[in-house]
Amino acid sequence: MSVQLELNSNNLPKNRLKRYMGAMSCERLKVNQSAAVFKGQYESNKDDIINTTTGYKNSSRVSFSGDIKAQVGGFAEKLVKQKWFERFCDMAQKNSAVAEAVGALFITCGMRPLAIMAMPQKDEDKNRKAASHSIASGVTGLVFAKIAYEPFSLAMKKIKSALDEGNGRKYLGDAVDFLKEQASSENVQGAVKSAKKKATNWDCFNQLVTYGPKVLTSSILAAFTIGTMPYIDKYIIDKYILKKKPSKDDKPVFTTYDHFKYITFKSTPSGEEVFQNFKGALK
Amino acid sequence: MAIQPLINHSISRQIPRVMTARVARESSAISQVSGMAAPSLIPNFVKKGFDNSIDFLAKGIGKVAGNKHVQKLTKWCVENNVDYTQHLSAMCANVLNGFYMYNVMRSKKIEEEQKKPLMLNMFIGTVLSTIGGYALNGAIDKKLAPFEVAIKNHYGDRASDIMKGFKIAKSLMVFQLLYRFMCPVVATPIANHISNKIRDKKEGEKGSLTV
Repeated sequence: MSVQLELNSNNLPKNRLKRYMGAMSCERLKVNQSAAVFKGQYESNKDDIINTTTGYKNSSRVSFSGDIKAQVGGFAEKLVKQKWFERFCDMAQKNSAVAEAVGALFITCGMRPLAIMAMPQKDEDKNRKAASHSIASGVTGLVFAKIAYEPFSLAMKKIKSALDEGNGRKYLGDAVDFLKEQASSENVQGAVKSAKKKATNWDCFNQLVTYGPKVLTSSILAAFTIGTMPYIDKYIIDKYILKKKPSKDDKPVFTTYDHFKYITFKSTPSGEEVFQNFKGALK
Repeated sequence: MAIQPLINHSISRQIPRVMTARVARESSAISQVSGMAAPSLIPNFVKKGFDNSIDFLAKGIGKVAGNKHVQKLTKWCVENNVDYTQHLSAMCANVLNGFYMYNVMRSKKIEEEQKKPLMLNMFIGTVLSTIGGYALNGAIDKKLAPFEVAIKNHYGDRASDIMKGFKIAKSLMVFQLLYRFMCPVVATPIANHISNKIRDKKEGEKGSLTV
């Protein structure tokens, strides 16, 4: 499919003109005093590309936003069709605390270890240990989330099914009407404002119940991660990844200093270098 | 040679049927047809106990839903179209970092001189990540139209549910990415810079004392 464009060469800088030509694989056909005509080849069936590009006829600027939009649209369509996308969205809506832990697992087990291993360092063991800590923290986070926050989502599921059956009063008492009504202000403030609203009282309350406990118990989650880390260090990382020989003196440590050591990925406590080796606070 | 299959047959009779996922599926399918209860690995009393505890929790949640303050907060969020997920996510990370800072502050193992820069470090990392998280989330929010269209086309009736989930998942992932990945990358050079400055200052002071 070929598209013709007319560009005002007077107003357009030469380097930009060249860039457009390169991007469109254009051939220069005709040059006038006021305007130059280019012919570009497109391999696309999308109507919006043609419309947006031809819409700039005789204009001093050419925009490729149509092309970018089509690319984003293509990516969105591909993403939306994935099974894991549907599952993850469902999980995020029903149990956001666990969904967050699953998402964090992708970061801590994929992106962060790769980034750590890519860092140039003399001691490779240190990098390996840091990467293993990252993976271990992700896994312990998911385990904790599954144990501690899953019951809340199950309870909400029970309430929801009871509401659907018309038996919501069993659990909610007088609050049934509050959670049943869909965005109370819709009736009061008219349709204009309500058109923008997509969340309901139930959505918001569901989020508060399934994610709120995580806010309240995040310190316990941190303690759990910190507490399990020495054991993971001793029995998994040292044994299988670094392949150290176990000695009788090695014991899992629980001092505050060492807690911080794990947060900062430090493998050996060495006084002043604590600050130098700081690599973020959140596990 | 004729004895061999007989022995095998008798042994296979003695081995109890192992409960695999496939067997469980088959048995549940049979039970649906015949009306019999499906066999399960989990004992019934454990199931009942778990069910009762979830019931108890659901009733507790019902009481929370009846609370006037909770209702006010929920209504306010819905009426003002607040993106509560990002606030909750940021709050969670800030509480967690506050906990770590408190841990450093009360620690006896870390030297007093190191406590301040360490806490400052955490503070910088948290603040930068929080601001970055809100900025990035806001920027992504403005470009969700293609996703909305794609979800509408693909999911039909379930589109609104999936879109809600997608928005929540997006907010969660943005903040996780910043706190768990970008924070270490951004905070480390700033931390090192401040650390070097403090060290240089101290060394200068020591030098002047000795001279």
